[in-house]
Amino acid sequence: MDSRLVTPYIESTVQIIRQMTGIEVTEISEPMPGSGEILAYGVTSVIAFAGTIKGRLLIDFQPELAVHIIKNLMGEENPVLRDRLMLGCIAEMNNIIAGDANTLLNNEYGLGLRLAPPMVVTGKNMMLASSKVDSVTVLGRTDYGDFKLNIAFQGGLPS
Amino acid sequence: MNAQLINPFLVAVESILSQFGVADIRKGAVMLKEEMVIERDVTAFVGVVGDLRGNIAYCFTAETARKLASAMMMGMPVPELDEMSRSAIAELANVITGNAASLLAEEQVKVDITPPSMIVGKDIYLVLSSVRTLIVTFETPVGSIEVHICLEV
Amino acid sequence: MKRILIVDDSPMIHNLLRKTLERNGYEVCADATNGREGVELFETHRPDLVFMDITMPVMDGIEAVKTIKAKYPEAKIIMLTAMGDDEIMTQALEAGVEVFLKKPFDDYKIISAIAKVI
Repeated sequence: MDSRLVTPYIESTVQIIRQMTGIEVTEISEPMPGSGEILAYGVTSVIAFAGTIKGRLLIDFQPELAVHIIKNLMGEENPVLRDRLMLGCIAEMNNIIAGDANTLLNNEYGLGLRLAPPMVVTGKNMMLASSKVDSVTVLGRTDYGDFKLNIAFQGGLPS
Repeated sequence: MNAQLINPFLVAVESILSQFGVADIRKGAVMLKEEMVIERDVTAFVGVVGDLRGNIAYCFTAETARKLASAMMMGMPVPELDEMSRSAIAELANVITGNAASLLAEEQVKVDITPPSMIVGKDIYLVLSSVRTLIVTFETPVGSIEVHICLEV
Repeated sequence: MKRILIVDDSPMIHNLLRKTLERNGYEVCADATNGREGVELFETHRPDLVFMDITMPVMDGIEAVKTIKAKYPEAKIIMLTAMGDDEIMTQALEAGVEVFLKKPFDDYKIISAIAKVI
């Protein structure tokens, strides 16, 4: 997949997790192409977008990392994950990350990408899949747990 | 939520399913919810952007998903929900929502749809958006289908 | 104390922004979760400043800014939103916002923007 479509999401994720929660991403893998099927860690947010091309950003957190992120964002000592308000933090952070990367892509390549509302799920043994897209997965690590990004696009940049 | 904007999503479900030979569809219970625990195995969803902004999700049991995937693949047997049949279900969500987008365009409401995504798993806690979700259950000969319509209008 | 109205559909943003404003000596006089509620609460509270998101249910932030500015041209509004490409920024500035900010934010970003406006 075109690295110009991938890099902005990775950079925005690392920066925004740091800026909003104070949590450092200590390791980040190279983008790996995959089948588009992801076995989730447990707290997953998907935000889809459409413009001259279409795509979506999936961020999947280990539950303990998600709990830590929510704690830092909301000041809750022991946040419960199965709660609309608490999970909403993960969705809103994904919204800000995708908004940041899409702003850059729109200004750079005139893609006119607009975001659908971010959705968020939590559960055990969830598999997430996308269809009719090219996707890459990036693995990330923090002191509080691991996360995955999956960046998918239908169509490419105009040549 | 405005009925004029909701209806195309419901009309599209019946019209696309009947194109794949799933006829005799009845609209069942209608609910309004903020979040939900999904007991069904398969949830496919598609985002909507443009004059409307939202997410539409379709929830099935594994059995219904297999039967629908089979109907979509010209009756090919689908003994288990593998990658190919999952992709058929994602495509079904894509086609239904795309049809709703065309119906909305006839009403001068311009929307674009995003690529479909899918969640497979049970006892999943799902929040589709910051607004309430309208849930309509369709009873069909291959089992019931829950359609979650979440529009920020 | 300057009184500020926050209009955003995310409870997390209300929480973070309120903390930022309060520790810098501002009062949050009301919280709205969509544009229409934002317009109504503006009329009730007549705040010194508004922080306004764009993508919200019921009425978006651009419409809300236009509605407020049409009736109260002296209103001071800072747009604070996740998407900030040239097209969106132009729409917001044409609607009449004083400052356009992109999320995320920190104290410096918020306080220096307020200093430009009030």
